[in-house]
Amino acid sequence: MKIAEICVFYEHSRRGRNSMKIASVLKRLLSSGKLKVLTPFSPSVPDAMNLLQQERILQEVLSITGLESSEVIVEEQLDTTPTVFSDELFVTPTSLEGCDFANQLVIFDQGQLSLEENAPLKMLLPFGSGESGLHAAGYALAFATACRMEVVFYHTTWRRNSVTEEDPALHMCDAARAVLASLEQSARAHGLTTRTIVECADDVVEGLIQCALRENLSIIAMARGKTTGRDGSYVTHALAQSPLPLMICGRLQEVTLWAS
Amino acid sequence: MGKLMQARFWRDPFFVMGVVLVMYAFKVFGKIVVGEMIHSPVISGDGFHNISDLFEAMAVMLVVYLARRSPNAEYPFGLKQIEYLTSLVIGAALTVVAFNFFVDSFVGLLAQVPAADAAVRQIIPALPPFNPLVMSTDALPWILIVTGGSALLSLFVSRYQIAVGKATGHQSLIADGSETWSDGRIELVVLAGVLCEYLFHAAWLEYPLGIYVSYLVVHTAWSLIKTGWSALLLRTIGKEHEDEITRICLATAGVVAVESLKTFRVGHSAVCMLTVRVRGQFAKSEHIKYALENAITGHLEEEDFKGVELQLKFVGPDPERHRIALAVVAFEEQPILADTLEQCSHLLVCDMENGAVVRTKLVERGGGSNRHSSAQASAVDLSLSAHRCVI
Repeated sequence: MKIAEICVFYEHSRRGRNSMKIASVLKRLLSSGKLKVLTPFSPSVPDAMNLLQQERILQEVLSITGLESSEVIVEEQLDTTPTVFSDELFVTPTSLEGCDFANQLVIFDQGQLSLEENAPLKMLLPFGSGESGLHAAGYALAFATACRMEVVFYHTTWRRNSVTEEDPALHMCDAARAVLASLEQSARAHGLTTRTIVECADDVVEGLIQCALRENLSIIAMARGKTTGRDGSYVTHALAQSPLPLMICGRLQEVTLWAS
Repeated sequence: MGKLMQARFWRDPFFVMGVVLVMYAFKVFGKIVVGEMIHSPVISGDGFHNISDLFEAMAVMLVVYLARRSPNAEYPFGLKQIEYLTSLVIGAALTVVAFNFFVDSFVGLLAQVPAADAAVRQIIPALPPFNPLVMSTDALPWILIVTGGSALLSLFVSRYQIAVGKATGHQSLIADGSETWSDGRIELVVLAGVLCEYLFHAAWLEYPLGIYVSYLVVHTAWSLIKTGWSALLLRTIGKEHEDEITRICLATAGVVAVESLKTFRVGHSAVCMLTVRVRGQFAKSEHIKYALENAITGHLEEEDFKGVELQLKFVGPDPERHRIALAVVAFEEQPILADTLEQCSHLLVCDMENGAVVRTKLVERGGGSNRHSSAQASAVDLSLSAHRCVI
């Protein structure tokens, strides 16, 4: 899988400017095609006015990002939420509601992302015993490869009474071990530098966020799993709690609600 | 033997001070007995001076005991700062010792040139008289044993005191160790004088050496006074540390700015009072707090602080309030941006907060106005965002 395009929604606000800045840094870093800036389309407004608006938006984007006009494309979009999975990456200040198919980099209100060319970049990729870690890895490892990032695999496990050793790695269940082996194999295929941190954290999301902060990581990459808890999935919790940018890898299939 | 070396009591401040007490007891006994035996007022006088060191060591034990008491409601930081009071007092006492030693050495050096001695005494009549070293061959071994043994003991015990003081964070131990170290150097100079007199009949060599040692003692005293002064008056822990703390904060995700940073030292712990401006939801503050505590504590503990007390306060982002106006024309009851100012029929005045429109007012070009609700404001911002003229 490769990252085809970096997309950003136009928003005339501080966080909108931040999104555009970070999207332009990513575009340069990934040497991807044009930066796609999406603007809302107003069908009731005459075409000439929409064109004028597009041109003004383009000029503003160029002044914010420092990109050439040949590197940016401004597109009007009636429906702003992607309805099918694609390999585009949306840089957005908040998660796109009801848009599980899109790959999103939710930057919250970050003014900058340590994604400059010379900065050491690191990504946290949490995994459990299910397929969500593998699913996230499909897109996230391609992104990490393109950005030359170090990847830290993270897992938190319950303590097993049958294991007397303190090392949390020894308390992992077989399914999680299999997922880790598969992740490591994928990372090797991408030529990535990886390491694994296993903990016995009280709370999964709290543990992974604190680990990312402790290890000075740049991004947390996650994907929604097939099931979701009563209060939302781990991704929902991470969106509410993480001060770090969160990459949500788009899903290909429907989720099953826990409550149902 | 291995178990003995690993035993924790070696590092116990009270054990260390016990060793210091024993050392002074030996010094007092040895110097007074030998001094009286060979009728040397210098040696017996130094023995009596060591009695005051004995009491000082007991005072240090009391200070360590008080400093170890846990914080309580009345003393929230405990009584650790009392150790810095000791540092200040010992520093002041060392300055007096250095001054006296300097005067004695200066007088001794001056006595080597009688004409200069007489001239200086005319200007400074208060100069003490010169007491030349009186030594017989019989007394030499005793003098060597007492001064040499005493100097070696002082140098060894002082290093031990300072090492344990640094390891356990007891400033009074370090201060007392520094004083003992200075004592050892003075005793070494006395020993050098005795040897020079015996070997070369050149006792005067002791005096320039004495002046140099008094300079070193003043240097130690100044360092103790400075440390005590800085801690008691809650001086900052240092610009380099504060710069690093600021860098850590700004590198932490979610932190926009460091609004204020106050640092000071309590005992061997650092206290940081930090106000940071954070972005977005305060629900994330707990994690930002965790990240800051982890990174700042890690940095300061690497820098010889025994503990860190971090008081963190979060403030929200600056709303960046300002006002913009958009030149608009009415189009099917909706405001649409005008191409030029001349074409506009209305001005849409927008109050901005956090980069978003929170309130609008439509002003007719010729006067009159319609106020929009803030619910409408976001829609206005979305459709007209790129077309603004600031007034």
